[in-house]
Amino acid sequence: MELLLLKISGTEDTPEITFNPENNEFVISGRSLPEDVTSFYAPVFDWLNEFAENPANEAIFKFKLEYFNTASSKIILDILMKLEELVQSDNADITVEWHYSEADDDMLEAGDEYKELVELPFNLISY
Amino acid sequence: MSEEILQALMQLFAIIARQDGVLINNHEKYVYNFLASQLNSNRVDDYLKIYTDFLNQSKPEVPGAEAKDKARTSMKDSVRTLSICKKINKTLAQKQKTIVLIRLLEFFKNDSNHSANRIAIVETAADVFKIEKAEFLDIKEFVFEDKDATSENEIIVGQTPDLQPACKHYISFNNYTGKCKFIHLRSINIVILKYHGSTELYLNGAVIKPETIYLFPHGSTLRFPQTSIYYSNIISFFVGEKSGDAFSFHAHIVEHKFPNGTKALNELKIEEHSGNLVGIMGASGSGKTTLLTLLSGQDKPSNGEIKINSTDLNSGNKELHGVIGYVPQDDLLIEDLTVYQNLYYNAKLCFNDLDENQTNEKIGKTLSSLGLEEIKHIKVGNALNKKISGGQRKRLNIALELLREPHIIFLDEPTSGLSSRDSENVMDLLKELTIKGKLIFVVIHQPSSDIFKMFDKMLILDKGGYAAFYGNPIESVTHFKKITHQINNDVAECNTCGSVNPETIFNLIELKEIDEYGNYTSKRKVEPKQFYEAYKQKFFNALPIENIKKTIKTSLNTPGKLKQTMFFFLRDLYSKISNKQYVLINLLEVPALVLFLSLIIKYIDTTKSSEYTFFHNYNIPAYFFMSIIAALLVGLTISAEEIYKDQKILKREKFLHLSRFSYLSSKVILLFSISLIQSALFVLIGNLVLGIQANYFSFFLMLFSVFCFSNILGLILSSTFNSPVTIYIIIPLIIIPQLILGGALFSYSKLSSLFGGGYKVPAIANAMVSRWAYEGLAVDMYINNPYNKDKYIFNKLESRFNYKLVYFIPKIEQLIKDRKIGPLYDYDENTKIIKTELAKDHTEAVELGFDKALPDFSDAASTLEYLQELNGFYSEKYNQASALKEKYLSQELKSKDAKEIEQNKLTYFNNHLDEIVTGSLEKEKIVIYNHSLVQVVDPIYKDPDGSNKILGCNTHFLSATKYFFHSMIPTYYFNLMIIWLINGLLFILLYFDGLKKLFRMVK
Repeated sequence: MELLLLKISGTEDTPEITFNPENNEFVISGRSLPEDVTSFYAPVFDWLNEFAENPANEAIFKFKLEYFNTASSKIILDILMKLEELVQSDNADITVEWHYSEADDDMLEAGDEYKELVELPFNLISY
Repeated sequence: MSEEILQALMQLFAIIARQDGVLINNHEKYVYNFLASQLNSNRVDDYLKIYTDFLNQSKPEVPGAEAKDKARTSMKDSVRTLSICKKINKTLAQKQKTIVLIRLLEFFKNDSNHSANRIAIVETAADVFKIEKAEFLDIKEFVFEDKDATSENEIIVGQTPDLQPACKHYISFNNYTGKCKFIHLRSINIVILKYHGSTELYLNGAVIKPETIYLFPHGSTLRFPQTSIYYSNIISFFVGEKSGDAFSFHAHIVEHKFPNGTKALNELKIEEHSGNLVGIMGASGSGKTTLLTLLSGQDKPSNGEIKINSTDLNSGNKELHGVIGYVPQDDLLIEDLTVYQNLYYNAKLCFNDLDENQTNEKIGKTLSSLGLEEIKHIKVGNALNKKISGGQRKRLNIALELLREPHIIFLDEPTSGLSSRDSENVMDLLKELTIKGKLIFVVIHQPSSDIFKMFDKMLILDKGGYAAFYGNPIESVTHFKKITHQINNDVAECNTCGSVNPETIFNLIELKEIDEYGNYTSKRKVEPKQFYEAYKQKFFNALPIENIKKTIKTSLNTPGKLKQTMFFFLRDLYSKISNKQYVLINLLEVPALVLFLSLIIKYIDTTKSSEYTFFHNYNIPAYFFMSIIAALLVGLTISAEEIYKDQKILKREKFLHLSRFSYLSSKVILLFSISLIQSALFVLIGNLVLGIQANYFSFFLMLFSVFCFSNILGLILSSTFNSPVTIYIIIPLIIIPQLILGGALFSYSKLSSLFGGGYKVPAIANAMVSRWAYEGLAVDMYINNPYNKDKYIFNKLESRFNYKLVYFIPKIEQLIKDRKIGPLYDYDENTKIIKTELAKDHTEAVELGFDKALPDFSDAASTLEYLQELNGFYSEKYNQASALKEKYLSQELKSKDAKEIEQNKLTYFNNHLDEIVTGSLEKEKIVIYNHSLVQVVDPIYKDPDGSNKILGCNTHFLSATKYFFHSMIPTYYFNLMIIWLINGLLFILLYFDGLKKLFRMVK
């Protein structure tokens, strides 16, 4: 079954999300402080559940965020744990890339903390 | 709280505090107070440092970030919160996590700005902790109290005008100005409280601070001025539906007498219904426990009736099975099992329809409701070797009864020997149960004021079994004050502290008269009878309680007999296995004994051979006998305490109406299994040492049968006698007759004629298992071995004619010669013997082809002539028999060489056993006994006389075969059968507890 393309365009307070298995593009970028985190991210989890049934090869999930609030941090963890589950139970080939601005220590340290929390190939990449 | 958690908490506090870039003074104060309540003062600073260090870690600056972003929570803090909460998730149970969350909310409360960033962190923590949204909101509201409306999980305790109309539950006290709020967190079943006000309140003895959240755990007491609130008071609002239907309990005891005729109880009435906690108090010897045994149906009142709804308790009606629970004063625990196992087997025996998961769930619930969860894998131990505390033992006892959910529970002094804290705990638990719809009777001794007030009703008994009071406990004080004409007789409680001293009641009851010198006399001011009169007037015809006609539904569903046997067996097995000492002794006892025995008797006859041979070992027959005696003793001792030590548990399980057959079967199976191992070990080791190479199995089977016999016998003893000492006194009385009458130690022919001594097996000896086992073994060992098996038949034939020629005919000739010359008169003793013996012999001889007629016995000469003929006939027969044997022997020589035959003889044939079974050591080979001739020689070859062809129990000792329903079967099997017949009879005796009943009748 062909996986659907997930595309959410970003706003001032919500990130842009592009999950496109066809050209192997999985990116979350921008700022994440939605009013209602759970409902905003619901499509992402729906997509992930579908993706779980037939994960793409060598998928690289890129987080290129500028800022996320506390509530979003929990959701990001949930996404990472979902990916972790795929790696551990289905041997899916998934890598996480955490992009941070060289000047943004906060983002780097947050990435470090996440790296500790999940068991996934997790790369910190500065730009 | 562990250090790790405390550290995590400090970090969380710091993360919350440093949001918004503004610090709030109250935060540090809260942390300090919180730490002070958790730690001793010198550690407080350490933790406070952790907090401040963390707080001061500067927030990373993002260059070029917009101003509004600066007020936002740093992402690092967000993710750090997640990782701390996840760490907490791994170590804390849901209950503790909720408490951590409450602390976070409390901490947050100090921020009057209600910063969105701070609450976001707390909310995220709740999310990671997986605390239900609705519950989180409830807790949040409870902590903040920003709204007046209260949730339905809340209770307010306060003055009536203070109470909001929106509040669903409240308890009103009019004499204090504060307000106390409780909330029940349903998912984790805990209650927390918060207090506003200035009056000092005590939670479990410690003063509480206003505006602080406290946990209100099981069994807690919150003391207000003059009154107290118990956990049970609070939980009663939340328990919601009562379990089961309402029922009534009605007892009218007209009179009860002890078996010796003395009066135990006078007329009294008890009318109760579900949901009451009833106390029974009284001086020692006033009949409290007696009353309890009557009410619980363990004993019938001499005159009176006890009804539950409209069913008579003593009618044996099945619908009341499982309705009653009883917790006696002493422990009814299986000492070698863990707390969990005790409950597990109880549950298994009560509920057939629960699967493993449901059982575990049920036990888990019971354990947590009684606060026994932490010790569930600890062995119970006994009163002397305590592994769990007295309070825990008591609670476990109660748990065992609660598990099967009886409707009415009777407890005999559940608080005796417990600390006041434990006592209140136990009583509070009982109170909680009554709230759920149970009816509970408690015999209580010196209750504290708080406990005393928990009772709904109190029955007070006076000396001589007279009731003195039945009603509200507080009223009892005024009642007795009035009767004894005290001042202030309408005041029951202390004005300032509100406590009641139950001691006053007994002081008033036992008030003594004073003589003219001002000394107390031994005479009571008011006799029990006077109090009784007052009781009769005031309480006897109290309002009758409506009689509920419905039958009670019980959840008791005992499994079938087979399953019961299995659970009894497993329970016993685990209990035994966990006692390492027992297992070790049991395994080593027999090998040690048999090694000792066999090594000592391994006799080498140096005059005949320098090496050990089975053939020359003189002790072999005695060894067989000793093995049997050892089996008897060991078997008895392993079983002799089995039922005795269970008697307490059996007492409790009487209420479950379990099958005695299953119980006994489980015992028998377990003991037989032990015996199986022991007899196998015995035979293996003994035979190895003594070089007994044949008949392993038949030796084993016989020993095992003897073991089983003594196992069952031991069970009978242990169910009959009421102390281990008596049991062990009885054991020699059983073993010594087995020794004397076993046939090996004393020859039957040389016993006192009083006991039927002579050339028959005395009747009394036939009751001895040792005799059957010994005979069976000796005969089997002698005949069924590679050396003798085929020779036996030739020897038997030869022996038969040899006896006639060598002993029988000469004996008759002797008898003839001993008489006076003349005709054979009938009155002459010898003549009678000669006539009958020759007649018997004649039929035998004719069958073999003898054609002479019997002489007419008119004179000696003709008889002697007949004997001559007979001698000739038997000589010929003997020669034929000898020839046959010779032929067999020469054939055997052809197939094996002489050396091998000799070796076989040394290996399989025992010389002394041969001497015994052929009677060759007896001086008299033929004797006159009871007017007839008795063959003493060669009992092994002699055929049974056939006087009883159905069951040849009276066959001569050491006969090779016996009659069984007109056919001859080998003695070994016959004797084995007899032993198992005895075993079967004993089991029936055990089942009906016959011996105990007999003793009771004799008494």
